[in-house]
Amino acid sequence: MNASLKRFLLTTGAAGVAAYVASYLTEWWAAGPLSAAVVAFVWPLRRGAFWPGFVAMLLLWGALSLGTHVYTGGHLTERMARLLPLGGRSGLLIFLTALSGALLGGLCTATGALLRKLLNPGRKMLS
Amino acid sequence: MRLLQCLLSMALTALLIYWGDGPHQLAGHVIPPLGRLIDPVNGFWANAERADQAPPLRERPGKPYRSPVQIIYDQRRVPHIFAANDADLYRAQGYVTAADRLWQMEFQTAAAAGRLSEFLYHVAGDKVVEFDRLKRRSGMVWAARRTLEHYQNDSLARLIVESYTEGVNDYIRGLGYRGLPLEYKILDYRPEPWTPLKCALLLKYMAEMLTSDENDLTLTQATAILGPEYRELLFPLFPDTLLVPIVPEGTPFPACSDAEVQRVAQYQPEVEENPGRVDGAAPSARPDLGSNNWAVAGSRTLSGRPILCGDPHLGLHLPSLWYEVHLQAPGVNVYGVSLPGAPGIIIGFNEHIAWSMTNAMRDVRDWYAVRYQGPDRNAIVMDNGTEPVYAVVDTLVRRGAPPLVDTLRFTRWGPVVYDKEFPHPVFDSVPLALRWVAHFPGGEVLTIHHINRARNQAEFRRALETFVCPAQNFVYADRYGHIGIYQQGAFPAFREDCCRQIRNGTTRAEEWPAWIPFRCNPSLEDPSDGLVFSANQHPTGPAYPWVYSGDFEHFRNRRIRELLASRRDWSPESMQSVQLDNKNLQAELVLPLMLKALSPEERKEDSALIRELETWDYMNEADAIAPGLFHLWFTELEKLLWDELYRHNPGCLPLEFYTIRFLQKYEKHRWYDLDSTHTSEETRSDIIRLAFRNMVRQHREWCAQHPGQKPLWYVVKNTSLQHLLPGFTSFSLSGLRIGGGKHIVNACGPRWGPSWRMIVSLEDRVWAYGIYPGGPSGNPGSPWYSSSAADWAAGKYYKIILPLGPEDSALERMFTFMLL
Repeated sequence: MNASLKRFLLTTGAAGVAAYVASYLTEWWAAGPLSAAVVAFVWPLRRGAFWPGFVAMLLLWGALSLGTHVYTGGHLTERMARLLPLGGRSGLLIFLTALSGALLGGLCTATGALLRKLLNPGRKMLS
Repeated sequence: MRLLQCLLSMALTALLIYWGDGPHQLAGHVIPPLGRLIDPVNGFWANAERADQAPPLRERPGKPYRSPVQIIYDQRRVPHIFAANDADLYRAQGYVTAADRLWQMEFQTAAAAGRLSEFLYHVAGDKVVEFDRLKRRSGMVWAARRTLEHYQNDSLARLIVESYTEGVNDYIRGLGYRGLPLEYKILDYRPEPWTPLKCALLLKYMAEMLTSDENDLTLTQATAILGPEYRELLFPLFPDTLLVPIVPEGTPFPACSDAEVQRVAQYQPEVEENPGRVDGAAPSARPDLGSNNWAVAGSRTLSGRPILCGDPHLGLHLPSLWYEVHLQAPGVNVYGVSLPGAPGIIIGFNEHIAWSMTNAMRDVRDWYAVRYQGPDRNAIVMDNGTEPVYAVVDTLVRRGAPPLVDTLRFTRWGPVVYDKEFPHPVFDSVPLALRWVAHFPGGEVLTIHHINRARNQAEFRRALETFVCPAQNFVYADRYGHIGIYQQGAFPAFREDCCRQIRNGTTRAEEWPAWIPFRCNPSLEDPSDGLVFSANQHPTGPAYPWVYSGDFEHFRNRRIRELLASRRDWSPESMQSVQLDNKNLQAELVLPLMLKALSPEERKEDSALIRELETWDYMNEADAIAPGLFHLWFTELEKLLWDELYRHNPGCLPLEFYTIRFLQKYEKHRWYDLDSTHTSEETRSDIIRLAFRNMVRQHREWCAQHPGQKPLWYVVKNTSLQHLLPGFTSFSLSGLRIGGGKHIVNACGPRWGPSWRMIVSLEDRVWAYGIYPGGPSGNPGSPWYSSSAADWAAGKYYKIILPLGPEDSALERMFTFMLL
């Protein structure tokens, strides 16, 4: 595994764990800023900072919603997919859940990286 | 540049969070807080449950219980509560009920208090404001406060409601966003603390549901259109035939004192001469809700012990109206259904007795036309002077809009519901004040408490003494062989048939002259034929010494009587066939007359439909076609016969029974003449044939719109269990395969039906069958939300053995909790 992929995976994993912990402790959106903080201050990235957050939250929210769907038999997913309205398509609701989390995560990590550059331009960033 | 990039990225992030965190308007639709809602940890996903998942009982930050309380959920997830005293019992009931039904409890009490705009105005708009204003102006909160004051002065009643309240608040205090019921998350609000007032409000909610079908206003309107003959022919106090009252004719009634009779005899009622215009549509007054109950003595059963049955026909909703529960503490071991938000068990059985209720259907509301003195409306005209009006400035909070300020005015009659600030759709020229028995304080909570603990007939009778509104027919049976039926409630006494029109509110002479003494309420104990029954019919024959009126049932009661009297070997299993009986006596009474009116050409042209109706056995089975054809034909016939009324207000129509009696009596009458045809004068046969053609046309249209489908009764009837929030169709069930219908023992209509079917065998060890449409959980994400709906529609029952204690082998445990 090359170093940059390794760093990407490490950052993504750390952002995912931070987001998961934040979900249980505080508001839904706090998962985003927390993963942003990871990217900004723990493993600062110079390029592509959007993607670790995006992937972390995509996987986290996707896995959690899919897991809940499968574990509970999917009756609520189907009801909510009709209410929202998504024509009762549970898969679409799971995808949109994952995508929403991903957008939040991606934007937050991108913001975190930009903020980091702005506040401490001298510090060496990981590529 | 970096700053700009950073700001842009932050702005986009903030926008996403802002959009996801609160409800927003988009193209006229309200978007729920999507981010919070779809958060897989705390959002709606957290409400998804498995059947084997423990009920959401949480940490309770409240004070400890006096003694440990054990809660056992059985295999159907029904909670069994074992406590060491009444205070703990009611507290645990409140706690357990809130865990399953918190949103429903709060929603129903908010509806009763006219507070839905606080939570729903942003989605429902002015429609919900009108709903709220009607509740507030009807004096619902005022009535609940009066009842609560009554409770506060009674130590037992206070203990009951305060303990229950504490239990509900225990649950609410331990609730974070993650544990909120789903509806709170979607509508984005939070539960507020429960109060004893909410318990009282819930009882007023039931009172309103069961007593607001009086037809004083619509009958005044109809009489103004068709003349006094309409009232005499279509709204008699008693029918001229087929009367099967609860207390059989010939049964002696308790004597009333001379003073009581004298007081009522002096009363000369006045009616309002000029109530206003006659057009406009007011809400329908024809009752759909109703109930059946009956008991047979041991002389009519295989076991030699009484059997009691009950099935209240109320609105079919999800979450279910009822909550099945078992309560045990020293002096009480009772099982049945409770109303979420009210302590105790409303319908059920204990180790000694069983009971059920049907609505009395008697008119307990009167409308008074009042005259304000002066433009400030601080006084009303009363006899030769004036009388002050008690005015209360009322602020109606609307979510997302400025509050609305209204003035509620209270007169000696009660609150002024309609005036120029809130005009009635028909009677808009005079202010109308409402006098309603539910405005008077009652001790219904005490009645339920004592019934739950009653061990015999005498204790049951005593328990009823505090029950005021909504008046009910309580059927009773015990394991010692006794049966009985008691109509209980507070009823104003009248000497004349004056209680079904708008009354003159400018004279004190219009006061209700007296209350019928409770001991004179109709009742029947251990009759010689071994059966008691009620189905919302007349409680008595004309020999009853007190005048009353109401919208009474004329079909189900006769069918129940016929079935029960036909056997002497009843068992709990065979009783199921009575509760599920689909015989349509209404069709049997009128369909032959309708078919006879058809011409040979019509018979030839639509021979298939005619054959369907002629060969029909009058059973409204789910898969039959004829019930739908008959229903459509009769509805069209009503529209044509009462076209003068229908044009103004479909709610003005008389009960179906009296329409049929009219059809039977008159071949020609001026009311058959159609307004729309000025050249000819129609007869009964003419409008029956015209109605038939309308029916055929609609039938063909339906078939064209539903290719390949047959118009089976259950399809066209479309019985649904609707979520309490209109529009939440995905949380509802529709198209249930079930027969029955209005005026049928299995009274299953589109939106109402047997909301709890119960059959109790009063053997040494009391046991029962029971089922209700829905399930124990109020969470649409739980398989227990509608777990019994399919079985209910299929006519199945669950066997219930009353556990004698937590260790009873009859109790099949699924989960056990201790409250300390």
